[in-house]
Amino acid sequence: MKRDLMEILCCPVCKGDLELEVDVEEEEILEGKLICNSCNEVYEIKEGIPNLLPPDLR
Amino acid sequence: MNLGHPFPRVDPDSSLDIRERDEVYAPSEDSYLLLKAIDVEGASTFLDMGTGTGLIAVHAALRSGTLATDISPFAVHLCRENADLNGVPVKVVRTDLFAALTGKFDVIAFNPPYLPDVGADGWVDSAWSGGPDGNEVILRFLEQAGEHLAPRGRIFLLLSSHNGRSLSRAEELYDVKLLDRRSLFFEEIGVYELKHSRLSSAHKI
Repeated sequence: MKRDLMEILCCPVCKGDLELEVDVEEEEILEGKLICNSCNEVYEIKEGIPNLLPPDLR
Repeated sequence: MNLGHPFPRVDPDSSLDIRERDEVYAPSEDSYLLLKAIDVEGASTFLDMGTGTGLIAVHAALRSGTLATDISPFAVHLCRENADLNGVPVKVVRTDLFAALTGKFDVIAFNPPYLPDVGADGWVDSAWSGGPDGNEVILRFLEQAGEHLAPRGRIFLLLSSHNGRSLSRAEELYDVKLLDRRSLFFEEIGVYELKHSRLSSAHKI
């Protein structure tokens, strides 16, 4: 995912803002995490795609 | 490019290569009916919800900034693969409808799971199973979509003859116009354009 995608994403559980943690970045972020600033839920980015399903739907 | 039409249509482009895989709903008559009805006039942001293979997203990305979403892990990866294969920039997010989205879009396209559930199982079935009477996912979409539609935005939604309940709700919430329809063996499918209702002030700037 590109960094500007952050502008239109939120936590699906509480609608809080997400913070980006990057593990692997080339032209875009390939591996990393999105962490909710409000409820602390963690969402993984794998192969460039953020998985923003709440825990019960994963 | 369809020069005979006043709006820039997203016509099926046979030069695009859309790969399929067993776990993802393969583009069918409903997908193409929806694709052909979409116009992207003036649209800078396009959302392809429930993208599946990414067929519509890849076409839209030739003209607009495009976000594709799906709940299926197989679909989001296949969509990304198809976007890369065709060299178009599609942003891809795995989400349940609008749950993880905050933005507003000029055009939202949705070919929903619209058939009654007769024992759906697995991700490929989630592409067609719309709950007990086929309306569950569409009704949730209709409740959420208005908040994510730009003031002059347009939704292109495929519905079948199973979706009378959804169509009634759509007409309560939006201005609805039938754009195209087609009879299949066991149902009729139609593409509807939904805009913010002129009677409602809820979405005025």
